[in-house]
Amino acid sequence: MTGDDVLRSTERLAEIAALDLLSPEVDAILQELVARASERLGLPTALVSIVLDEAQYFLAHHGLGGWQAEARGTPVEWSFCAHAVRSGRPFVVEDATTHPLTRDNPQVTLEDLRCYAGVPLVSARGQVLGTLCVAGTEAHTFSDDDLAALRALAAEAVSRLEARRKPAAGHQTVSS
Amino acid sequence: MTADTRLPGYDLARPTPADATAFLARAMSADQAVRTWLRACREAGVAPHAAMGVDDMLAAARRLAAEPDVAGVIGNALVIRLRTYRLLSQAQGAGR
Repeated sequence: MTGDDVLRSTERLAEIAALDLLSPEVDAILQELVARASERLGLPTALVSIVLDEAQYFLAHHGLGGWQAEARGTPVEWSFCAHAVRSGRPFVVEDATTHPLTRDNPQVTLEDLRCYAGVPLVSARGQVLGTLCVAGTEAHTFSDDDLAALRALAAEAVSRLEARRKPAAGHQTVSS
Repeated sequence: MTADTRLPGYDLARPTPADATAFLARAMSADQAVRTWLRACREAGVAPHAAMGVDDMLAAARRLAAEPDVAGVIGNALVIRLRTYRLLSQAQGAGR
């Protein structure tokens, strides 16, 4: 499966729909986690981003302003998080102006994104939904402890999102 | 996507109805994709045609985004692309 095939996989998009991730109330569930990520990593911006087929959607954001906050996402071709979803592994960029996958990205050439670390959000059914990530406007070195902290916050985010999953038809609990 | 609508620097073209049906057709048959898009346009109260403007496209995409299944996810992605295009084109227009 190519990178774009992963992003466009009907099974992955169906998982995003099944978890009702794009519902407005999800923001409140995750807001504390993005604030903690920003504080723990000492970077101005933190996001929970779900990567759709043709765009990324910010479920929750901290420190984001301008058109990206208003649009609540970006086209997928500008998404750093999409790299983590394609590979299923953390994506770390210490200086986006020199990284081969990001140096030509408009978020770098026309905006001020310079550093990024994102950890995949993997559902209980094994689908990579998006990332919990941090970003900044200056080059930055990320430590193993930083990535461990992001992994822990990403696990908590998935746990909170999974708690909203509706029981499958025919498996609903009947209260007496 | 046509080249003449691309935003300078961002290389982002204005999303079109052809884009919408192409995105939907990855998850359903081509006929179903067209029917789904036309239904979204009808329910949004906009006329479907090849040269739909951003506002009409956005109205139909928002209707599509309200679907509870994969079509809704695809609709949400289209909404973000349209919002991004509109916001950046407004900003570039304001800067000229």
